[in-house]
Amino acid sequence: MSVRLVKCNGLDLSLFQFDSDLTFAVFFFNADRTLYARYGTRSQHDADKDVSLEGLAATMRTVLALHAEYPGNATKLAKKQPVAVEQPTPESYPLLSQFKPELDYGGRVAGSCIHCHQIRDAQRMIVRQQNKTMPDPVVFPFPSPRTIGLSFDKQTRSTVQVEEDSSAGLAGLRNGDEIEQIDGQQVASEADFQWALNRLPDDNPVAVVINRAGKPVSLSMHLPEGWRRKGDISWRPTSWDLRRMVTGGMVLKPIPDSTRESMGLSADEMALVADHVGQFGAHARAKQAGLVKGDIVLEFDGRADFQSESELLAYGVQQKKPGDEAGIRYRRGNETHSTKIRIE
Amino acid sequence: MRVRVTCLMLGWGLLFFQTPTAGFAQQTRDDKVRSDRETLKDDDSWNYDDLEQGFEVARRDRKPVMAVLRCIP
Repeated sequence: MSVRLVKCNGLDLSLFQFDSDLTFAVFFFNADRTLYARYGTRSQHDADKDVSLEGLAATMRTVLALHAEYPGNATKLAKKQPVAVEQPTPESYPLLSQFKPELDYGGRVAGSCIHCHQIRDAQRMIVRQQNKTMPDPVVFPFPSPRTIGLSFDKQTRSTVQVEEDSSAGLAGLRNGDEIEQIDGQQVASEADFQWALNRLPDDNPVAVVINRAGKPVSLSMHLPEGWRRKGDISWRPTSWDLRRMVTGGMVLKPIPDSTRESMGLSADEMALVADHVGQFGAHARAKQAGLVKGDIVLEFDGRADFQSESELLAYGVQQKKPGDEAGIRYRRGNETHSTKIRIE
Repeated sequence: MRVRVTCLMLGWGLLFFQTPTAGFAQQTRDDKVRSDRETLKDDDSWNYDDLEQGFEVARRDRKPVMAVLRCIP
């Protein structure tokens, strides 16, 4: 039974829990609403490069096998199930309360549609408005397996390449292993793996079962404190709102090594170029502070150790409150300048 | 089973990775959203935007439900 859903308006959030920065997500359920699997992943690549028909077919074969075994396999599915939610539907969040449960097909229908990424924007806005620190799982949701040293082959269900010195490599995973389970849960896709990662506590061993050359192998993987912070969130549509909060609407990217060398900067010194500077409303704080596209940010709030925009955004929403100021030192041409922006 | 699933996937792929509006130049996003519904609401392969009916049919036929959440580009 195939159901096509084209809007988040009215979406049952007690059932549909997923990485809402995706533009394409598939859910497989039993008729009793037990979730078998998720499919759909995205990263800094074009969205289409992180999914494939072959990979989806492999997930579907696993789902059919799970369906044939169900309910005898319920324990292998227990932690894949949705968790309690604060709001039943997206339009229940204050930020999205102007939307209706149904689309306005007779009017401006696209404008009446809640986009998936707006769900996370709305969730983060509540944390921010309560002046609370955003925890790592909120800033770095649904971590990419690359964060722990795994690259999934997109043409398969869960065959991986492994970085040697990563958490996965140190746990004993090898190139070509097929991941069967993590934390006792059947892995039917990369999205399933990400769901499990998203739920894991820091600094805790997690059980992983792999298929290596046809034989099951059980491993224990340790994810150290703060492991999520290695993740890249710059590609996420929801980082747009984090930029409003932290960098005054600037999109920051690492400068090329050649530019770094010509500026006489060492490899560990901060140097992020403003690839975009917002022009309107609360996204124009950096512009109002005098920054323009092409400026190279060397220091933020007295710190010169941010190597990526993701690290900087995380610092801003975890260490700074709305209304705080942050000093920015930046290079334009051969001159160095300083200014301040207001944190939102 | 393997061949059958793969064949189904090729068909579904057209819906996953293209919209039914492909070929219509200069369509607005509003046009695309309306066109998607017009094209697929009566398609036998899909239940269009009615999850509860999807669960009912799955219960009757003892099959799993595949729910696809796809932003129309």
